[in-house]
Amino acid sequence: MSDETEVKNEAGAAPEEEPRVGVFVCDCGSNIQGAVRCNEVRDFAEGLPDVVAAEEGKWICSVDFLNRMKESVTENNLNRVVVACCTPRTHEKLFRKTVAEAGMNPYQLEFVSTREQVSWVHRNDQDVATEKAKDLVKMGVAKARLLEPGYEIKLPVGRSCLIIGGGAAGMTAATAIANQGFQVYLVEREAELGGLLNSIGTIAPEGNSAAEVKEALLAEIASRDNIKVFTNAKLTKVEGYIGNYSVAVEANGETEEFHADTVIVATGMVEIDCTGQYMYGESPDVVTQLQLEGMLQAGEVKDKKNVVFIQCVNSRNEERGCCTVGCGASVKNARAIKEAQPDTNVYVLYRDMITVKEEYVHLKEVMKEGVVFVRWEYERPPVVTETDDGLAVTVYNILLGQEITLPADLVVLATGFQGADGVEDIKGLLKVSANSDGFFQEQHIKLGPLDFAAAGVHLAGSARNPKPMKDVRDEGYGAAMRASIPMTAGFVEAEGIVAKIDLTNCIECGLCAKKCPYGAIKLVGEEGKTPEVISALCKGCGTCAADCPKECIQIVHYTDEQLLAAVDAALEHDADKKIIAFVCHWCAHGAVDIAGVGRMEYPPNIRIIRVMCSARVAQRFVQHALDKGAAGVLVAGCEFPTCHYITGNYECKDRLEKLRRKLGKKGYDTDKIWEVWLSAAMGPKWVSTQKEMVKALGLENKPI
Amino acid sequence: MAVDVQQIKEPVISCEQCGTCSSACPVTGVDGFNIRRIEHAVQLNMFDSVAKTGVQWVCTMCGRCEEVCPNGYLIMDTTRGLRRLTPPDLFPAAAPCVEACPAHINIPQYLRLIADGKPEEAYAVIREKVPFPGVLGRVCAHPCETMCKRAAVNDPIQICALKRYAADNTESSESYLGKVAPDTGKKVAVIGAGPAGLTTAFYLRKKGHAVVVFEEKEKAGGMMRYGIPYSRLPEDVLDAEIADIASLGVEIKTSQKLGSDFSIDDLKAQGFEAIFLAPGAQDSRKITLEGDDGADVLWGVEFLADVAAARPVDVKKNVVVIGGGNVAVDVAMTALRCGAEKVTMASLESREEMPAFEWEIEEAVEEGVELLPGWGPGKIVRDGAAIKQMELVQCTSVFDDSGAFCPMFGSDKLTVDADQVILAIGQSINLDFAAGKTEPEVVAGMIKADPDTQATSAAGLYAGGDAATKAPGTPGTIIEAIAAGRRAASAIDQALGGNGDIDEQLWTGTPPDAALYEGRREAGFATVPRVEYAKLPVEERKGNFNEVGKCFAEEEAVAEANRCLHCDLELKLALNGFGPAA
Repeated sequence: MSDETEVKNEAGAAPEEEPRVGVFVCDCGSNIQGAVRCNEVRDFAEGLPDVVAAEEGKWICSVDFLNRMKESVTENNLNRVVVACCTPRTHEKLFRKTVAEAGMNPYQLEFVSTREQVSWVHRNDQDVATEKAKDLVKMGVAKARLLEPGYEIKLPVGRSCLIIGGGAAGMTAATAIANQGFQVYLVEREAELGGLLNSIGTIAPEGNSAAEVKEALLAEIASRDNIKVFTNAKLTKVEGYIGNYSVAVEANGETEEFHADTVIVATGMVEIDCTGQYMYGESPDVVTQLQLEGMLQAGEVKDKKNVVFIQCVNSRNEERGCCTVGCGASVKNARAIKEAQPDTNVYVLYRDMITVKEEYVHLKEVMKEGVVFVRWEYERPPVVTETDDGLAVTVYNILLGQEITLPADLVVLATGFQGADGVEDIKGLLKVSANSDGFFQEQHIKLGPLDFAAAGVHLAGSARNPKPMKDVRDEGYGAAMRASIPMTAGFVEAEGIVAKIDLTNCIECGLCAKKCPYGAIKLVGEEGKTPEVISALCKGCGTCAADCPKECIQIVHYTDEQLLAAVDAALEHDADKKIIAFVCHWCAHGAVDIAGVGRMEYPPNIRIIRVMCSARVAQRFVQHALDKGAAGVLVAGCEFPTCHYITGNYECKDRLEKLRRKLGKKGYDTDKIWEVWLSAAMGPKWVSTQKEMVKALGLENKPI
Repeated sequence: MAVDVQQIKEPVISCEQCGTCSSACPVTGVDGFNIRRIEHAVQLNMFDSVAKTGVQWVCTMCGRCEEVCPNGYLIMDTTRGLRRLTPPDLFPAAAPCVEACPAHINIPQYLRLIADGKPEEAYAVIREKVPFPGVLGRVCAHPCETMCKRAAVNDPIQICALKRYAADNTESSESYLGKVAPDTGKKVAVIGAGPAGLTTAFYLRKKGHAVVVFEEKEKAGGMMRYGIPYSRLPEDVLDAEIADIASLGVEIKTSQKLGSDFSIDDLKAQGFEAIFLAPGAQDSRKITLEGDDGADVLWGVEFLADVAAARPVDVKKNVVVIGGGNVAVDVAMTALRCGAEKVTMASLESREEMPAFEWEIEEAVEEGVELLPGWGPGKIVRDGAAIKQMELVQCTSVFDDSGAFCPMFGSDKLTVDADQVILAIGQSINLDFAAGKTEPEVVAGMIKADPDTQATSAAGLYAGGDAATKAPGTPGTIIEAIAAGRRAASAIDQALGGNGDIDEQLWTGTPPDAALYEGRREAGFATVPRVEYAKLPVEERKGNFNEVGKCFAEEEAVAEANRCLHCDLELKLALNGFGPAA
């Protein structure tokens, strides 16, 4: 851990101390108080083990009450705090900061949601709501007593960036990073920089010259002495992590090694091979869009009288969605043909014309110039045949309700795209993931579109998915910005919720390092088998902890002991009527909150135990809950395919399948083990799942 | 003129096929019409394959498509262009209203003149084809409105009521009679002074022939006078229009009954070279019922004629009318005016099947007539001499599968209190004069007449109106009788050595130049509602025959006439080319 600097929170309470728990119960005006008798909950909390103070506040997030909370921490010498109020997704940071200001370790705060999980969803029965609120506070206190301090971590980051791919995105990112004074290593596989700018003649929608764009970028790169360009280059090594990559590039027979602090992947895309479709490969007059670009530049379309574009080739089918750029490109190229030769008949056979902003203006203009758009449907694609006069395209025109046949002496296939060759190599080198089309998977489509899950590695341009040139360049700038943040700050900081390995029982199987989606576990030691956590890279998902066969790994704030204490507290009485739910902090918890905000009533049997990711849920948790007599166990994670920890939900799902088999063999009733995958908007699905479970488990009309 | 297909494509060349037009279009789906799809076919240069289907004529040109098009495309110009490519055999002969009118009145033109504030000029246009604008403006069956394109948009134009507006706002109808040609020395006899007979007389007189009309009743007018209550067609309106005809020198001899007062042979002997038979259907169709042999059982046609002629009729308090046709409805409303307190109408037909015009049935209901659809006459129950009740039998179906009249009865019976029963179950034609003769040929109780010339099997003998056979599917209406009269006049004139051309230009204005017609519709045009004309309040209709319908005020008439879609100009555009630029 030589590169890391653990920054201790300034006044961290020593973990050895006897727990002194303070409970703060919020009325939230009438929001909670309206359904829950909060004074009763406070009285109940006062009687729980280690609770030395319990207070009720009208709005505990108000400045006045926060001050009161700080006073209470000091007065009562509290080293654990439980707040019973709204949802951790909005207010956890505030309360952590508050207790930290009072001198407590912020990670020793536990959040209980008595509004979204109780008062808003059980509005019609005060007794039921109050009892559930008490249960949740009991679970919170049980966990809080065992909470250990957590510490944020800082990792130094230097001022150099490796950019893989010298196309429009990579070149743009290179100039943007170099402009800030950082060193750039730009690695290009081909002999020339430019990528797709070398293949296309003009850029949709305006039809600007691609060559001019490329020349401008090349000129800017050449003018910078802090950009080192490698062409004809192959990456042979990228090892390490943010602030500490060691890179080897083999170019023109020589290998150069250097250090880099951040990485941007901008490897671009290629057309999907169309061989065997629409007579591509059989007839020289069937070409792809990129081939047409070349023909247009070479003036080879001049003698063509009938040109037919076929859109959505290899796109919008069972395998993949919209190619994003085909419509704009076809409009642009149809126009180029029509402007050069107004007599040429140009037909665009489309499924939907997706043209946005300026593209739409161009679409209207080409229609005026006489380009005819014919709509077909997936079930009845166009058919290209050879006739005595050349080619003919037969298509069922759904807008006309009849089949039409168009003569063609050039058929252009607007085909879909896939990630460029070499994606597999990059995946291996950087431990990043890509989808089945070879497009790299961003950390999160909305929350981290230009980031990989691993800190310090970013992506831009069509390596992520196909997009218009403007967006490619915007992403180049965006990724440059993301990479520049830690380089400018000089460090990267990580949350204190991280994995801790106790090597006592470790059998050095290496599973943890293999499973870690962030490459945050290194295997060190003499044989390279001893796991070590790089805390700055660890995100605390808990995959390693759940899968470790010797149970050596714990996650701060989410240890086995803490989570099982909450399970035990929940099942202390009426266990056979309760469902234990392990709910991920992100989308699944978001759905729970939405159900609350929407005041969607559901049965009160559920007891939620929050984990950062569903991947944290180990077989032993489920087994423990069933052993303690729980009526059912529910695991709730993010809806596929997104996960805040890359693949945590997939890991969890796999594990659930295995544990059902294992527990089934041991004689457990596996019908009690449920799972649900939710987006943050799926409040109704959360509610329906509760209702289904209660019904299936026979818990209807069984009061707790 | 060659059609430039690029011009057809131009308005919709960048249509994105959003379909807002066809969502708003009132005729989407009618005969496969879909304006969105047509636009796309045009984009694909499929001009002829669309035009050869004729689907472009389904469009009403109401302008909804252009109004809602997010791009503001002039979509109708594309449809107009396609119309120009219509194969000749699919080209409409005239605007739908003109085609529907048996007399082919130039309806769009007179609507435009009304819209321009020129009702008298409109009157001239109408008089070019019919001698009875005031009559028709009140009681025409108006097939024109049924066919009116505007019906597909929201409601048809009030073509009939606007005709009345033109007639009522023309001070000197005699100014629009046209010229009478110099005497030809030929004599024509017309038997029956109904709409068919008077029309024939009118046009033959204008062609210079001497015409004598023989009328059995004491006044001329036929069913217009004796079959339609004055509350719907005031006597003075009819009298004035008959007087106009007589003013040309047509001699009308009343109280002259064919068969008893004179014979066909008499007329021939008197030098009449042609005879037009238009005796009408003046009698009620009769049936026998248990209890019908006594007081207070009346017959519909005769009842109406007696009331019209102001002969004393004893109408009781509680009247049951048997029948579901127009005569029955008129009988019911007349009975109410003659002192009946309660009138019940029992018809074999269900409410939907009743043959009377819907607007007449509605008016009867409005006036308090109680309908009993689906009930046939059973028997009349008497207490001594006086009628007590009418027993009705449930009618389960009226027509057989082929559509022929074949009533089937169920077992249910219904008894309604009544002290008078009026049977109006149909009309019959009295052809006693032809009994035992081989000529003229009679078919199904009607004189057989050629549908084009109205000629009968007997030389010099022509027939029209209700007593003559008609082309299949032709109803017996006033406008149909007038049309038959026109055909007969033309044929007789030719037979007498004339050219048979009975049309005359009475309107002296200039028809609009289709080339100057832009055909753009103001926003909201398609949703402008039909203007309803005012009516006499129901409570003021009892005990009198004051006219129920009111004439449009000028602003109402102008607003209503402005709803016209100008199908005639659209047709000319299709024949001659695009608007102003062409």
